[in-house]
Amino acid sequence: MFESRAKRFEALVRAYSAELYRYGYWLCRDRFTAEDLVQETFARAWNAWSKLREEKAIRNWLYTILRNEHARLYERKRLDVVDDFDLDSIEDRKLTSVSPEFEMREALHALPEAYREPLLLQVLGGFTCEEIATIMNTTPGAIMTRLSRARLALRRSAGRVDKESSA
Amino acid sequence: MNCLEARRALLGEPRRRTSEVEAHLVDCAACGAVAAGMLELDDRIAEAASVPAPDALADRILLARERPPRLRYAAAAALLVTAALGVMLGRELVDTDATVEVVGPGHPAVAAMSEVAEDTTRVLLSEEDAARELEHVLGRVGLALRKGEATAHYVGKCQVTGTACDRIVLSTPDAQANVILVPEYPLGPPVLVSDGRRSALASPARAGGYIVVSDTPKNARRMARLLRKG
Repeated sequence: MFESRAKRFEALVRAYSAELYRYGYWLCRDRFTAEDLVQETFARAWNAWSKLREEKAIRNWLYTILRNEHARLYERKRLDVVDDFDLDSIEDRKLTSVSPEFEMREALHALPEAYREPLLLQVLGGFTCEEIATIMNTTPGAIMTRLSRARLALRRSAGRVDKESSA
Repeated sequence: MNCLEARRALLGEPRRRTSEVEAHLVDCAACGAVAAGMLELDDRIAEAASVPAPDALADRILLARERPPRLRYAAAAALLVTAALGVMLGRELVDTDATVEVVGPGHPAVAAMSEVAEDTTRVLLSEEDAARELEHVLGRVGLALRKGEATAHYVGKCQVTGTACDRIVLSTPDAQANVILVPEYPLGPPVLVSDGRRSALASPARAGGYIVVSDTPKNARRMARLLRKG
């Protein structure tokens, strides 16, 4: 029985460690800390294995553990979203003649965390608004708003880079 | 559904279109262009956000689960971090929070302290071979020893953060340090951590990096100065 559990756990680690690392990286933006977060996520998952009821919910469960672990690590208070945050300020950064991919990464870094996190959960993780709302403990409507605003800001930023590149 | 509603839906979930959105797109070329643009934007976001995961990450996670004492030490060491980091050597910030934000239990500096504390290094070489190996392993990461200022001894191979490393011991008349050479793990700016019993200074080198573990932060820095670019 233990061997079976160990094998399933190993399969889980091999299937999800890379994508959890990417999510962790964008939460903390430090690769050492991101690796620690993934390590701790799986350590907690192993310890709480018996509480897992639905096999199909395992991926959401892992993302939630990692997110909680990140919050615990920094003893961070839950961030309130400032809805009138000036996302246009992202465009004010000096654009240089580097690759559009680099500029997009910089624009992602510049996005407020409350907007960046749901966007990456959707784009990288493939989660639905409802699933993201569950992971982030908020409502699907709030997630929808943040996703829209994040995409609008990035689209404006990307549009400017394209114009500069073709000029 | 009108254009405004369709575009709101596309901005929120461009890859999960409801039947209403699909029906609108059939009749509205302008919104069809918006939909295509959103998919292209998401591709660019995904490409930019896909940072590469470290090699052998899954192996390290599985290895760590099989070695709980080491993890416990590493976690304790991280919690007990008391001394600070310096992006420039010689600058010391006594700001535990700032340090904890930089390092965690998996940071190579903390793992190197674990390695020295547990002393799991495999000693496989004779004295003669060890002397030859010393120059080779230092040169591999782009380092050399300042002549006449310390004695050095190659100890053997060890594992830090799941990466194969080499361990040497540096000695002067009044201090000693273990140096972990990490050839395949690029280290960031210098970081100095301490758990009260040992201190570790992790620094980048030409290839990978090196971690000097000694009894005090001062000695870790002093012993690090005995190494130069090779």
